[in-house]
Amino acid sequence: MSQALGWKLRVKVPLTAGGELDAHEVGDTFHRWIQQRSVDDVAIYVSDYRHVANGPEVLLVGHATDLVLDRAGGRLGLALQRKRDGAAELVPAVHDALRRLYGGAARLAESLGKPLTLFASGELELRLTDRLRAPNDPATAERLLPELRRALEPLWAGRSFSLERAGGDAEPFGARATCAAAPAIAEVVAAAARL
Amino acid sequence: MTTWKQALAGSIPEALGAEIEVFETQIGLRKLGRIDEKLFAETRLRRGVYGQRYDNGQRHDGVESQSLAFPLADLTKGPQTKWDAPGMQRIKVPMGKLSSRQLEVMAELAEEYSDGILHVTTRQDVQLHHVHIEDTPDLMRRLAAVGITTREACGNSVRNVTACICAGTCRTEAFDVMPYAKAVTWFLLGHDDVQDMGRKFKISFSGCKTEPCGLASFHDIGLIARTREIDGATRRGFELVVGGGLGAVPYAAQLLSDWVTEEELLPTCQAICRVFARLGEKENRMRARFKFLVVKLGIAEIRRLVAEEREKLRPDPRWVSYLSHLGELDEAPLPEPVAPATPEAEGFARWRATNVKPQRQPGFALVFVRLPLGDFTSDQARGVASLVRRFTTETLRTTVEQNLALRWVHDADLPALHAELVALGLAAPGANGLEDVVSCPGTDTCKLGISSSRGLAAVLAERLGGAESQRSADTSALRVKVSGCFNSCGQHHVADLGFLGVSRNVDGRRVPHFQVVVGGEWANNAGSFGLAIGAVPSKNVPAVVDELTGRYERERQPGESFRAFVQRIGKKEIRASLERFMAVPSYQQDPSYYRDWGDPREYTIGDIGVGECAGEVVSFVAFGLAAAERGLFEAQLLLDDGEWERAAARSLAAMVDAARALTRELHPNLGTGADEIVREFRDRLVEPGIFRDASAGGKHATYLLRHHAAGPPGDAALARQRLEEAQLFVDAAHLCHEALVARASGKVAP
Ligand code: SF4
Repeated sequence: MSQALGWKLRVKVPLTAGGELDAHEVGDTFHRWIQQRSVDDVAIYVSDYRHVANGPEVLLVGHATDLVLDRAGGRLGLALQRKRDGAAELVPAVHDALRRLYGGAARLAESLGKPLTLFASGELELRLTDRLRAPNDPATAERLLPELRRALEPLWAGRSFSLERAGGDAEPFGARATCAAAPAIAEVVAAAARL
Repeated sequence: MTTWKQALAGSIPEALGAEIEVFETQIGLRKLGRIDEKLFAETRLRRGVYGQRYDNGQRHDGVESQSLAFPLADLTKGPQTKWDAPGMQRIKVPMGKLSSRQLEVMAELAEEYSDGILHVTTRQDVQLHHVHIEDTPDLMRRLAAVGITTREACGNSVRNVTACICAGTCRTEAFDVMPYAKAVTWFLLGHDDVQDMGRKFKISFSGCKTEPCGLASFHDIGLIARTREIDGATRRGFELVVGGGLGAVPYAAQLLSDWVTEEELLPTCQAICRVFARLGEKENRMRARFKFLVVKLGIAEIRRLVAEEREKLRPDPRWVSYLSHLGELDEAPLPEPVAPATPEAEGFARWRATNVKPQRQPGFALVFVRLPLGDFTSDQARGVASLVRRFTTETLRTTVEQNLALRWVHDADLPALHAELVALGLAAPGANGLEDVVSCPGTDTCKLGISSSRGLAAVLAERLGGAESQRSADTSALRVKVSGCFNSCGQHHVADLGFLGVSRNVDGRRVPHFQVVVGGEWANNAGSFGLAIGAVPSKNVPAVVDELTGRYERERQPGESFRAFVQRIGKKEIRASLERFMAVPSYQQDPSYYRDWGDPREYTIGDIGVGECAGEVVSFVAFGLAAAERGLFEAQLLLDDGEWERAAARSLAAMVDAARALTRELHPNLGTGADEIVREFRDRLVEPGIFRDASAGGKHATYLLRHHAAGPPGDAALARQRLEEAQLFVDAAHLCHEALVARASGKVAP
């Protein structure tokens, strides 16, 4: 089936240390976006999983992508997961996800009247949920980490960043990118918009 | 690029792989418009691929109804069901038994095809939501590779067979029912005799009569283990009840037989299914469950019909073959505790008091992992899988109270297991009690949901949790269950405090409400149903729970159950005490009443769709003819690829499929061998002149007889000719089917 062609992946920008977002308010905001018909996907539903520990709290469920207020790993952040119709090549797939993720973060901050600095500018978590293309093993790391690095380079204005494999063996292939000297989050958002 | 089909080649049992191939072909045929949408709907339902709210392409956003602009706007996967709309995948877990690897695979599927959440249902299934239909064949392959089939998880079929989670470890059981439940599961799965039912059919097993685990009283077939001394030997058998069911009006199952021997278990179930398939209502889906047939005909007549049908059954070695390996599912503990010196973490004592049940075997315990609303994340599922490996020998179960259970845990390992569960965020105490509220999906994802059962359940669980120090153990043990509508999937009828979603009109606006049902009995296999008291606005339900639990706490007599308390003080008195919660303030006074729990949209019932619980009534013949059509399509593809020998074999098999479907209408015991099918088809349909049409007479029948008798064709041209003749045969089979239907209804054949 056609789905075999596109990448499925997830990118997450954590909140800065000590930052919090009220899941209830985020859910209301997602509903409002649907009312305003301003979601860049076929927006289907807002799922509320606040009762679950260390997982998705609220999801804006779309046809091809979900935007998620997520506490997986114990750290709150905003995640974008691409479920279908993804790009066939990894770099454009990551770029598309980053554009949507940082665009969503900026819009969420604005809708909630929060500063954009709520979101960490120099941290990013990636998970390649497509286990067929990216089995979680050293060979995948060797093959795909350079591609992921290439995909992330434009995000932090060419500043150096670390990119390491992350997560347990049973999890999907994951990586964590950290840019200690990252530009301000507004610049990162602007860079993502240009990807 | 490698596909899952290629990657898993060799790991999938042949039969499961073939079924998934067939389903994938059907998806392709539906996309080409070559399968009718109703037939396709029932086909996917029988693979557990279920519809979900908003799949008609409409969603009310709180202000107006929006059309969802799915890419394939005109393609449907069932009546009023958009192709691209996400759906629910139900995964059958027979008796709730899961291995750690199976759980890990489900976790992978949840994060790849769903929303990263696994949901345990009230029938021990696991459900994934927001799944696209085109992802389902690969999802099924990945499940099949670890021994799981989704076949007949939904639709008009025998649903997941449920059983006591304590089986084999319980103090009150007559014997371990697991091997019997497994035998029934696999015997009836895909069996011809369960393909023609007008509605779903549910079977459960219980090890004893007094505990709730099997919930026999609301099943189509409830089986309760018992033993008898016969000729000085202890014999195993079952008490068998039939015709129970919840739904809008609950029916308690009635006794069909107080003693069905283990040898007669499978044929008796088969005979019951046949009676239902033959005589059950097919037109009016609201009256199509078996319970209505039992009431209509009376239990004595059902008993007679089942005995009569039993006599007609073609003997099957599987009826008894499983009895020679009954111990196959026996579980054993790890030889030693793995972390006996672990100190007790905070909260251990309460967790142990509520979530740990001692086994019959001294030194071992069954541990409940409480899942809020039945949900857990993929990461948590992986964590549980590793705990299952570390602390047990693969003894995991899903439970009908939407939790998990680990069996055979060494008592000495309980502190260590608890500490690990704390780290996973899964150590909440109060399992199966007041704060562990059970809920159906309701308006979150169910097309029929009227009120937000999950929204309410989440609020109740949060309020009730942590207040246990102000309650007695009796009150903390009460059960609260919530259904989003009268279909009762949340099993509210058998809860101490049950709630079912309804809607009321107040000053021209809709207000979400819940009907309050009190005093249902969970014990005694869900022995009795509760009393409906009246409807209260959703926003007042938490106060209603406080009022009722508070009164029970203060006014109960020593040893008095909630049910007995309700009966003593009376429905009138309870209603009087709830009267003050029934009023709805005006919209201007408090607009929050006009929104549902966890949903900021103004409440509407405009999103209610057409449910798929009932499935589409598609007969065995229709499925058989569809299989024949699919076979011809595959034969054509083979021919186009130059594989003419395989094409000829496939087209002959397609004719046999069609012949079998028709012949079985007249001969329910028809086997599956091609020789027998062709012979019976000739004797029962061709020679009496039934298989004929106005223009060709009986000519098309000769194609099957001739192709079957002849060997493979000698060249591609002959293979092509045979394929064309097979197409004519299958077309004639459709006409013959119409004639049979007309004959059965007393009308003249077209
Ligand atoms: S009870 Fe109603 S709302 Fe709940 S799952 Fe069943 S049909 Fe849906």
